[in-house]
This record gives sequence, C-alpha cells and structure tokens, in this order.
Amino acid sequence: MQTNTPYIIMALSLLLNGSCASHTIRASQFDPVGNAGQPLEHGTLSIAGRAGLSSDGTGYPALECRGGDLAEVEFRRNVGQTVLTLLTLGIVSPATLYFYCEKQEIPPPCDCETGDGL
Amino acid sequence: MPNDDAMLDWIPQAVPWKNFHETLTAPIKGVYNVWYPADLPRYGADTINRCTHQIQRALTEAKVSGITARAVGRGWSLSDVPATNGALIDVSRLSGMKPIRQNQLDPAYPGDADAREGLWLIQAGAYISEINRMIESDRFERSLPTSGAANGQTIVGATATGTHGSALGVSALHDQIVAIHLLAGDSNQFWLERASYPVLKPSLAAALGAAVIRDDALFNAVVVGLGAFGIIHNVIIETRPRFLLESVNIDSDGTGAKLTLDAAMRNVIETLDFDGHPALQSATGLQPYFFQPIIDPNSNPPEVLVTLMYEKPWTTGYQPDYNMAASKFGPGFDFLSVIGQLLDIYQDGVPLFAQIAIAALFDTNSRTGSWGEMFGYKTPRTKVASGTVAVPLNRALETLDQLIGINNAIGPTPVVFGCRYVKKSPALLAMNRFDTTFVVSIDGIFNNTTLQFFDQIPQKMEQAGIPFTQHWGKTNGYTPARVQNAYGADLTAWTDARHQLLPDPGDRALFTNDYMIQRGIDA
Ligand SMILES: Cc1cc2nc3c(=O)[nH]c(=O)nc-3n(C[C@H](O)[C@H](O)[C@H](O)COP(=O)(O)OP(=O)(O)OC[C@H]3O[C@@H](n4cnc5c(N)ncnc54)[C@H](O)[C@@H]3O)c2cc1C
Repeated sequence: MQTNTPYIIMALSLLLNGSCASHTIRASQFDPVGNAGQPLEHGTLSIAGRAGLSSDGTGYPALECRGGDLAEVEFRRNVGQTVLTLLTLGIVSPATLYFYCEKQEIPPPCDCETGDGL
Repeated sequence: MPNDDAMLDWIPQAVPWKNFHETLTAPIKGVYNVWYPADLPRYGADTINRCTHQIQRALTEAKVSGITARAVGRGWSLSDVPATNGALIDVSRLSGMKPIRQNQLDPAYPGDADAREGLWLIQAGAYISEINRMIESDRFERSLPTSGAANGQTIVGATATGTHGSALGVSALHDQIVAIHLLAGDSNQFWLERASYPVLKPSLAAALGAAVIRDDALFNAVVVGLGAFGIIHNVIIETRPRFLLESVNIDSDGTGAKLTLDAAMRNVIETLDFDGHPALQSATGLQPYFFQPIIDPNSNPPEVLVTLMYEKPWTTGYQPDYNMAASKFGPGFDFLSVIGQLLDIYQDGVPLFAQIAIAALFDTNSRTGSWGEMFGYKTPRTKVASGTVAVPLNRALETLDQLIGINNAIGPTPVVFGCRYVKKSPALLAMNRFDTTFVVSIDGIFNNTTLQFFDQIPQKMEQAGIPFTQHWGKTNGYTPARVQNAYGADLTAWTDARHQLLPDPGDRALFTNDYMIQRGIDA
C-alpha cells in the first residue's frame, strides 16, 4: 500500500492540474508592466455560455492601462473554477484574466537640444 | 507646474505579493505605481523633477504611515531582496533615455573619444530590452558590452543585485554605470560619481536639485545597493560601438560523440585556452567574446553543452529583429511546478526529463545577431529555480566537483550548471569580486530537492575552504557570518556609506527589509 502512495499522488496531481486551463496571447514585441512585477488580475463569470450573460458585459475595459495597449493577456481557470463549471454543467463558468499593460511610449531623444542643460 | 497627482497610484494589497516567477511571497501593504507624466514630455531635467516629486511623495506617505518602502523593478529576483512588509514602489514605467552630449561632460571625464560618444542617461525603470532597441538603432549605433542572459530586467533592478553575463574580459552590468541619481529618502537627493571618474558638469545635477558627491567608496556602495540606499531614479551608463555576434552551440565533437566534462573540457573551463580542445578551437583563430559551458550533472559522465559567441563588425543595413517567434507546442504556465512536484516524488525521472528538456531547448544551429537579439526578454512566468556560487577562476574545477558531489549525494536534482566568467568589479558588494570571477548559475525546476541542493552549497564550499560569493537576486545561503566572510572590510565600508547617505535612522529603517536583517546588513 505504502509503495503505491507516490503514484496515487502523482495521478491525483495530474488529474487536478490537468483540469485547469491557461491560454495566453502576447504582443510579438512588448514591454509589459503590471503591478510590482505581478500581473493585473480580473475575475470573470460567464452564465449560460456564449449565448448567455457575462459579468463583463461586452468586455472588460482594462482601465488599469490608462488608455494604453495590452501587452499580454492570460486566461486561467483553476481547480475550484473548473469544479464549479462541472457541477453546474457549464451554466456557471468562472475564470480569471491576468494581464500586463504595454508601457507608454515615451518620446525618443531629439536632436533639438544644443545647450548644456539636461 | 501641472497637477501631477495622477502620476502616483496607490494600490492596496490584501494578499501577499509574489515575485514574477511566483517562487516567493511577501505580506506587503500595497504598491505605489509611479507613472511617466501623461502629457508625455521628452525626458530631461523637467520630466525628471516631476517624477522625482512623485517618488518622494510616495516615500513621505510611507514614512507618515510608519511602514517600510522599497523600489521594485520587474520583480524578477528569485531571492526576497525586493520584498518588504510595507510599500513597494514600482518604478518600471519610468523609461526615459537620452544620450549625453559632449558639452555636458566634465572636462576631467577620463573616457576616450569613443566613450564620450556613448554615454546615456537612463531612467531607473527602463528594461534592458528597451535600452538595446534604442541604442542599437541606426540612429545611435551603440551596444551594451554585456548584460544578463535574459533582457527583461530594469536597468536599476538588475544592477542593484549584481546581474552579470559571460562576456570574456568584461565585467558586469553594474560596472557600466558611471553616475547615479539617488533619492535618499523623501527629501535628500544626491548625484553620485566616482572622484576618480568624474562624468557630468556639476551644474547639470544641480538642475535636479541633487547635491553632487564625487567619492569612490560611496559610489561603489550604492551601485550594487540592494535597494537599501533609497530609490535610484536615473543612471548614466557607458556603451560601446554596436557589433554583431555569431553564436554557435556545440554539443558534440567531430565524431558525433557528446562533449563531456573530460580532461580537455576541464582545462578549457579553468584556463579559457580554447586551442586545447579540438571541438572548441576556432578555425579562424578568433577568441570568443562570450563563452558559456552548461553542464548536465545528471548524465554520467556529465555532458557539456557549449555556447560560443564571436564578435563581428556590424553589417551596413542589418536590421535586428526583436520580435518573438511564434511558439510551438510547449509547456503551459504551471507545467514546471507540476513537473517539479512529480520529480520530487519520482526522482529517478530527473535524468530523462533533463535530456528531453535539453534536446528541446538547445539549438545547435549557428546564428548571427546583435547583443540585444541574442538574449531573450519574454521569459514565461513559470516556476523556475536559480541559485549561484561565484569563486576565483583558479577554484573553478574544485567548485564544479563539489556541486557534482552534492548532486550525487542528494540528487538527481532537476538542474543544470551554467558556467560564466566575469571580470572583477570595484563595487563593494559585487559578486564579481575575484580577478576573474567564475560563476556557476544553477538553474532548473523549483522543487524540494533543488532547494535542498541550494542549501548545501555554502556548507560544502566552507568545508572545502573555497572563498565564494552568491548572487543577491537569486536563491542564496547568505547568513551574517557568510556575508562577513565574503566581503569583510568592504561590508563595513558599505554600511558606513549607508550611514553617510542616510544619516537619519528613520530613513535607514524605511529602506530595510527582512532580507537585509537575516543577512546582517541592516545596520
Ligand atoms: C529569467 C531570468 C533570467 C535571469 N538571468 C540572469 C543572468 O543572466 N545573470 C544574472 O546575474 N542574473 C539573472 N537573473 C537575476 C536578475 O537579473 C536579478 O534578480 C535582477 O535583480 C532582477 O531585476 P528586476 O528589475 O526584476 O529587479 P527586482 O527583482 O524588482 O529588484 C531587485 C533589487 O533591486 C532593487 N531596486 C529595483 N529598482 C530600484 C531602484 N530604482 N532603486 C533602488 N533599488 C532598486 C530592489 O529593491 C531589489 O532589492 C535572472 C532572473 C530571471 C527571472
């Protein structure tokens, strides 16, 4: 019995982790900024699927980026969210969006300065 | 003066802060995000002053609330050096960059004609990747002489912990900094240069409201400052004329046999005499610019993968491509955490996993590119482990034998050993403090066996009597005694510098974190 324990743990671990999901889209060239290295986070809920309701209506406006672009968005569903989705036969389906904003583009140096001031 | 209050955002945080790779947590109170002015002015004295005001506002608020504060860059560190119990001040949006003009230089600046062309004023939050893209452009035609093996860090976050690469005869990233604009608390500002290496006309620093200090010891303390001196807002770096690198990855000899840690390879690692190894000598007789052997300790005999990069002149019309290639089918976000757990339970799987990972990641095709193209900057947020040990080059082989010994005793451990070479630095707490510092970067999967491996490194080095340092920004086993042993009088000078630049004990406490206390560098 004892010798099987690691394999049972491995199987359970694979099963639990395997039920989670993660999908990421990134700009091909990016300078992402979040919140002290952490991604920004937004919980979202879909009710009754694509033809139903979403807690974000037609889409979550990433106001955190202050009008700037998104650099990377990851859609993740953890074990708890998957279980809830399964228990409700997909009617209630929560997930979390993790995202980074693109840095504001700062004007490049110009050749317009001639004095010795900074 | 515009109303800039919106440049500072306070985001309270109820859950622990996590570093980028999610390998450690800290119970912070919140994050101050400092934004570049929304009217997007050009980067110069006025803009710097506006940003300085906001950073100092954050520091004042933290002081009034009685909490600690500390700058954070990308949060890429794998040690808790950026962690705090109070406020993190995220300066990574501050990415101003501009070249310094000849008429701004102090006449006593010792750099030669080329160096005078290549000085850049850079704001703390600029990523190394952004700097590469800017300076390597046709307009500026410059390159960094070195950086880390990934390019996503902020310039000051990287240099504050001593980030290095493996360019032969070149020192680390922090050794390219020649001037520092330090916000030492919520009211004091300093412009620091070495007395032996003046850079800017002092009147320029005065325009920032910063007191100019030219002092070698103070500069050498702050440049690898671990965030303990306050917030570094701007730095001046030296660059070199842009160049290309031809990179070759070698895993086998002319007969197809795998390269291993045999006598010939040991000789190259210890002497850097490439002619002594038939697979590594250059047909053209050129010395490599960059050399990194990676050792797989889980193969027997240990197999070695070698990266050699040769310097080439820039080709007219060459346009670097910094875009990310489309990903192939590969690991998802949590793949490495799960594999790590599984390999803890089923350790015998490590060598096989290592071989699969190496085969997938090590591309033996040669390629040519700029410095900025060679090293990636889009690292995925997977759970990785990284620790280092750095020793004088003449103790390199003993060190490798010790590390292989640890792996034989407790392993297999899911790590590889990346060997790197860094020239000595004058920075007081630099890891590269030996004439040629041989650094072993131990990188792999974050699991219990790996952490146990990291734990054993300092003990084994002490038992073997090998002097060593470790990377401040990676998992390290520094204790007060070990830091004292490694740095001796330089540590005292570093602490003295902190007292000089932060004379108020309240200001010193503001920038002290548990990481410093645990290592006895909080005095
Ligand atoms: C994928 C990856 C690859 C790496 N490759 C290498 C490598 O090749 N070579 C190498 O040597 N290291 C390497 N490292 C380690 C990394 O370079 C260091 O940990 C570096 O310090 C991280 O930079 P950061 O901008 O994320 O800084 P952070 O981790 O956010 O902060 C590091 C320290 O700098 C301080 N700091 C940040 N900004 C300021 C500021 N403005 N003023 C004062 N203090 C400040 C912080 O308080 C903290 O103490 C790597 C790490 C990762 C994750």
